[in-house]
Amino acid sequence: MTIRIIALVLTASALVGGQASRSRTLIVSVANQDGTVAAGLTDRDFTVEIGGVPVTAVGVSQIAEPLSVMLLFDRSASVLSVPPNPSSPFGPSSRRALLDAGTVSEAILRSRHPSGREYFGRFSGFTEFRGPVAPNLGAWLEVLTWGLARVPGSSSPIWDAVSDAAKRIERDPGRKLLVLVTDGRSNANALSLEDAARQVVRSGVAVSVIDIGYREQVRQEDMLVAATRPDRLLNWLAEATGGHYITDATVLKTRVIPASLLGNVVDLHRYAYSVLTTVPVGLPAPQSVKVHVSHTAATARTAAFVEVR
Amino acid sequence: MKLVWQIALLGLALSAALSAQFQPVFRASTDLVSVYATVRSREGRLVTNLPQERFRITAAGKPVGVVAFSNEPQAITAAVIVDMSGSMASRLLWIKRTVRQFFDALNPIDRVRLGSFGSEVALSPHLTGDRRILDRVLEEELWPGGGTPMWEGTVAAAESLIKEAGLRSVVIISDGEPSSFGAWRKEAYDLLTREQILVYGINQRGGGLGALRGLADETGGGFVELTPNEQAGKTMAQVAEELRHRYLLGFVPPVRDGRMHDLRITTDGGGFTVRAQRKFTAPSGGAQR
Repeated sequence: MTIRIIALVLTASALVGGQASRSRTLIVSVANQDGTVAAGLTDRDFTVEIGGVPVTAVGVSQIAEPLSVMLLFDRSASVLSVPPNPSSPFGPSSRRALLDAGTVSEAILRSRHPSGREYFGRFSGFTEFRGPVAPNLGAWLEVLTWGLARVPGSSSPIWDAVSDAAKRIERDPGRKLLVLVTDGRSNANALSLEDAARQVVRSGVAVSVIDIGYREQVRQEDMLVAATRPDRLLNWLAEATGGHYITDATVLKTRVIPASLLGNVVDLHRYAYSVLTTVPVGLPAPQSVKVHVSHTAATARTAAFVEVR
Repeated sequence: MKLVWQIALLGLALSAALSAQFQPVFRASTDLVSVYATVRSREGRLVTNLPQERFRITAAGKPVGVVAFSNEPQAITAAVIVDMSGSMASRLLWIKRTVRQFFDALNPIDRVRLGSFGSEVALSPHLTGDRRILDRVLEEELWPGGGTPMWEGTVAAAESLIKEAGLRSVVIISDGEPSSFGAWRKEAYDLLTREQILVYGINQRGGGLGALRGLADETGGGFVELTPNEQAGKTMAQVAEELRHRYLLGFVPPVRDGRMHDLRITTDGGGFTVRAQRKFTAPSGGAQR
């Protein structure tokens, strides 16, 4: 099984065999088919290409580092206007929130690194943030009450919000993950998707997306069919930044994010692999980076990333 | 005597402004009211070369003189808002094609902001002539679904143009009637009239007409209907031409009460049809001396 991945990271110059080279540590998260972390991979499982040039993976480790997690929720009108699903197990008029403090506690706080940080952001027309949030149930209860309250819905500048969120955590130590919960119906952006992704990559942040939207085929009057596919844009964003794209039938049906799903999304980055490589100096940056993983047990959801510094 | 001086100063200000092409000053003084107008021949052809003497203005029921005038072509500064309500979903490709044809008709100095109304009212922050940005917004940011908050969309579009100079337009592509009324409708009319922003409506034939046509008529804009399979390129080029070829007419209002009054602009002979706003806001500050 081959998994394409991408990453970015630390660069240092050295002389290897008389030729100038740089060492690069790539952060690579690998998922099994069920969305859990693929564990036990070694350097022999990874093959890396930078700028189309194969490079050697000289070391691989899977050590939990401090992780900054930003939960970024789309609260725009298109998300809020989706009626409660009549087949929801919580009842047709369920007002249960997408996420509750218990889920955050179970999925994120229970196994957090002592130096990790957690944030919450929401956008509807403009973006607001809270955090770092104290790692306790009470603090999260307060933040989620604010963050998921029904507010007058507005536009969906998703790419701008993602960029702002990445800037918010870029100076934190360790790894950085942005969990974007959205329907993908983006508009009113100052940034294009591509520009936002580049900025996010420069900030060293991976974006994983939990898609709560829908796609549709709309028959046109001239007999053509127009496909509206926000999922494609979201998938591209996740791949470009080294994150994962998740669409889950249960979430779409119940409008509730279960702790197991959120926990997997976070753990994929908490327990991501550090892959040390060396590459010759002289490749102009930015370069595309591809990481292939051969592992029969792993079916990956992953990533392609586009910048090396 | 004071009025003469005011008119002279206004004339100087306007002349200086008009010397810079595409940059006519719109509000040179609180004493001068300026309005834009288009003129069409009996055959419907755009007429752009009438002299100042051919225009007649009746403001607040009284004839007034045209004290400032320009017929220079101007840069387009427009917010194009697209109806993305559920009923327009089956016209998504037509809409994109039509908007793209409007972009094709723009000149390098023209600036456009693209937005939509449906489940959300959304406007791009970019007011630009950069075709790459406009195309990107067109392809990435239109999502069908929801109601028809046309008035809210119109207010948002007009507000986004308030700080811009010169002739400003809101181009609305819609199939019918708004799903909201009342306060939003009044706010839209008041804002457009106060800011002298005209509305140009583009409708796919077969849809409702009333609200969109009314808005276009009241603000002195325009209105066209297109058929679903029509190659709209020529029509959209005409829309762009009409947006940039407007007469600028200035007059001193006979009242100074800060209120809205009726306005009528005609031409002297020729059987021309003049399209201009039907209301104006008089300056405040007491009676004219």
